[in-house]
Amino acid sequence: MLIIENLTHVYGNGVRALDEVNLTIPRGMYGLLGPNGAGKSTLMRTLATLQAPTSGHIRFGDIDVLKTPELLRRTLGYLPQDFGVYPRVSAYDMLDHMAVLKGIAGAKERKETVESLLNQVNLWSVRKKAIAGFSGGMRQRFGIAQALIGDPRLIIVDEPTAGLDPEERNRFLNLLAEIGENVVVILSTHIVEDVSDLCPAMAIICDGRIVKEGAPTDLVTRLAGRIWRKTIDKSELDAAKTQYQVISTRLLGGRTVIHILSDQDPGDGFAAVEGGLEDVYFSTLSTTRRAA
Amino acid sequence: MFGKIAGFELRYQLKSPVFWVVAVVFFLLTFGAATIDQISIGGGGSIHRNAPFAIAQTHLILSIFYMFVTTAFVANVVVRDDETGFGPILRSTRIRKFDYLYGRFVGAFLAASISFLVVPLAIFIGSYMPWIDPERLGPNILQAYLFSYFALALPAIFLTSAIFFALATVTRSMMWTYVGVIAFLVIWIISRIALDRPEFATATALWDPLGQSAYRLITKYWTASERNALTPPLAGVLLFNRIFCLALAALFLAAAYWLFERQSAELAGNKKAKALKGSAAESDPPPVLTGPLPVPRYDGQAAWAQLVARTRLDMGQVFKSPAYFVLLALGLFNAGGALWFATEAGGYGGVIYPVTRVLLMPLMGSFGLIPMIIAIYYSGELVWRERERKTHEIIDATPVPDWAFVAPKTLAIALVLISTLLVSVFAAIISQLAHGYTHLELGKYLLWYVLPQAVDWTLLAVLAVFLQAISPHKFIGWGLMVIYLVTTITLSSLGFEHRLYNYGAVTDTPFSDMNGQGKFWIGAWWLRLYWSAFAGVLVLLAYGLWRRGTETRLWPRLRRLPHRMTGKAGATLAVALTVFVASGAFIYVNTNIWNDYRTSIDGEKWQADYEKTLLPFENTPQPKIVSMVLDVDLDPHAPRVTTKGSYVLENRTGQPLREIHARFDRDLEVRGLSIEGGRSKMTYDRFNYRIFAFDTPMAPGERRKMSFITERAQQGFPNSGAESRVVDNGTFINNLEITPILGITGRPAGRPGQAPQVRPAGRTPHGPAGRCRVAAVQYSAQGLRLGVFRHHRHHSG
Repeated sequence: MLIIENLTHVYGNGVRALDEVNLTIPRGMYGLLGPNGAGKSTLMRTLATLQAPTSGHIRFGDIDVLKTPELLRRTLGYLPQDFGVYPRVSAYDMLDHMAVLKGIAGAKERKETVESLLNQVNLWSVRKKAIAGFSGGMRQRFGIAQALIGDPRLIIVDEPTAGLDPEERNRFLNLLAEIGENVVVILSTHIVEDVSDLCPAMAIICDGRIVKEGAPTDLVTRLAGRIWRKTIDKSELDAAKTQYQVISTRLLGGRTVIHILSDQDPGDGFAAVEGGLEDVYFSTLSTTRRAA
Repeated sequence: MFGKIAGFELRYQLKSPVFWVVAVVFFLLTFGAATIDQISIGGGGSIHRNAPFAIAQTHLILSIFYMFVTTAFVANVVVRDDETGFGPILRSTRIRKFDYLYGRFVGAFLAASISFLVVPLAIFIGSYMPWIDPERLGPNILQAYLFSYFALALPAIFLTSAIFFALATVTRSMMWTYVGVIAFLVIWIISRIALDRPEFATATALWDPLGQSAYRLITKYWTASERNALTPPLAGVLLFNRIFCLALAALFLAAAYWLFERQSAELAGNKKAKALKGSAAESDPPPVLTGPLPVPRYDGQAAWAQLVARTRLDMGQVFKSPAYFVLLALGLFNAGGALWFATEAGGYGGVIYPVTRVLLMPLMGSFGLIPMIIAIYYSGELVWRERERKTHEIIDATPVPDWAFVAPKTLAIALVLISTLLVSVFAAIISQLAHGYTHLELGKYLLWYVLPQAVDWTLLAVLAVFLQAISPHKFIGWGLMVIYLVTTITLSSLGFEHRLYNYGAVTDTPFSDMNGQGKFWIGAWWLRLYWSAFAGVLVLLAYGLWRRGTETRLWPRLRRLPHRMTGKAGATLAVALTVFVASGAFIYVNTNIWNDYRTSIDGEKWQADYEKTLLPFENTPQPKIVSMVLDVDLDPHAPRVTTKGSYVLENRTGQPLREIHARFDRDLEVRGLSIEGGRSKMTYDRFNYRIFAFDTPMAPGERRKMSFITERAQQGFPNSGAESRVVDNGTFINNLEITPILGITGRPAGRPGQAPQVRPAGRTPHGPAGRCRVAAVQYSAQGLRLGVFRHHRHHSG
């Protein structure tokens, strides 16, 4: 169980990246959804002991993360949003190196770890190739392999599916789903499907604040009967935006499909739709931004 | 299209580390040659440091050294696309072969030319340095710079660029291109030696494509004042030679065009073979999974594994980087010349055996710049590498302890330095074997060279690592190191010479085959202990201030520093500080209490005061010594010389003498002195000068006896000027150093090395007939105490 209390982070230039964040994250996959620049990566890096927050507390089990980051690191698997590799180093060697750093000291144990993980993430056949030449998906799978070394109890993956093609993304999500229910996995993403596919619990972060929290199914249920859809011409969009709370627009066959949030039937050709997590996300963002 | 490709290539090269390393190396080489007394390229004697002749020689010689660099630039153009895998994309575009090939060549050549601009720049800046004797400077003549850069250096750089560009297009391999460079140099040097006869002078002037012979022929009979003022016109032999050089370059460029195949068939074949082999290995069945993953440990074994793994990775990153290869090649080339010609060092036309001792000085001098650059450059590279490679987030989030960053990086640089020194030893041994000399003394290489140098350069590397750890950017860290080096030179020239405050400074350790390192090594290793303890403190501070995670500001790291200096780190810090203070105290006792601490400025002042004070006594009539009995007790190991002696003096002046003036070597202790019928009248303690007066003047022809006891001894070790006359094996002492001298008769009373200096020691007067044939620029371990390795050969004509 990861408990975050009143976490605030203000950067040197005055940007308030995290603003009184409170979260309780149970075992299993936990989705943290938010647009780019919402503070996701700051939160992830803070949880991963890479930066100290301005104020607040983080506890993981009986570890005080901010006071004793070295204890958390022993049980942490972290896949950063963007990571590089050393030139001229193969996947096998790099994973072996990471295993040493994570405390897998014996050569035999390391071999077991590295081979097993390479196999698990389906990189066995390219293990001797330099990671520098990997595709985005292969690189992310390598990233999750290194995060899994040493059986961590807290796994943080920051925007892992950004830039992956659908097949690679599926493969990656399957991998995450396999990791098991016994550990805390925090998946930060701006892609709604990542969360709806995988996570039994989630939160939406916007402008450094947690604006919605709960199980995706509950959140969707709560929205039932409030989402309405209409297909309009592009030229009508501005008018619609002033008249309704438009939460999303999407092109379909050259025309624009809009979703709006409304407690009553707006009429005017709108049809009720069964909302999805995407509608939850967009309505939350829209409401937050209107309030701001 | 051509312009765009060239522009892209230029920008690409300007961003590469090779460009910057090279610019710094050549700046330092030239700056050293232009500003430090012991070094000169083409200058010396009455030739100004910034004379047109010196500028031209510097350009000519450095443009040859530059071959290693241009090759890195232009060969990279060809080899790069296959290394990065970007080749197929480029080849499928509509770029014409002409644009692709020559566009890139021009870009790379321009980058090389721009980088070489540091050479004239360094001479120019050097001419304004305050420590240069103004007499050794002339006006800066713009025309000389332009001529040297454009007419001498650029064509040579263009030619070597073209040759090795062509070679790279054929071989598609950096390594084979460098082999070609070595082959070219060997052929060029051998042909120059073989053709170094007056009857060939004009022919070589015409056809030596690098232009050295042409310039030499023209300036052969120039006087010093001509060399200080004149730039030869670009006409006649020189013009022909330059045109020949460019034509030859054009020929090689054309050849590169014909030889370049967009997709070399052979290369494609190789790749396929490799791919097949690779896939065979990679189709091994994946291992069978069994149970949960092994759990981590945090014990000694894990710590050891982490140290080894990090160190190995860091070393690998250095050894595999192209800049390391270029540096090593440059250093070995420079050292190769110095080593090969070291046997001529006798200077009297004789040839001496290439024994270890003879090779080590030129080796240290000519190769020393390389470990210095490695220590400074790779400290920056390694400290910043995780951040630059963006691996810092995954690495920093692992449970690896904080020491596992700074310790392996420091260790890796130390090991790289040792390996580099061993490579240079290997070069020296090859030189010995090539001379047919097979008595290899590996122990001497180790004790006299590898060990001390490894410690000294590692000390420098530790300072660089520390500065990088507290700097907000790699370039600032490097900048601080440059400031440090300049400060070191400046402070020592201002008289701040004590080794207790010059980081990494140790006392001189001369060595000889008879006496080994004598007792000189003792002080040096005490100072190494002292500075190593200090370096230990620096390493601990670097550990405490290490950037882990995404926090890069210094202030938050400074704030948690006290907290981090507790526990084991604190205990280590205490040990390091204790060793530092204790060894420092012991060294202070040696250098300042048991011995006098004297700077060279003090020495000069003493000398001047001596002459001013005692000049009135010049030509004061003194008796002659007609008989001398000396009982000299040598204790070489102490070292101590006790001399009991007596003179019989006779007055041959024809007049009565009232006074005896006895002067002693500055450091000679006078234990007893008596003169028959004389009493002490005046003693100048500072100058060890005594005047005795006779109550009864010494009549003409009269004889009297003078007795004395003196002691020449040294306790411990001084800061500089350690006893080198009385040694365990090979004591060589002159009576003037242990006995009184009567009166002032021209010869000063300092030790031989302290004679008043008309010109600073170490500078070789260099008449117009002598010339620099192979110049290897020498740098010593102790922060740029520089000397040049020069070879004079007399004209055979």
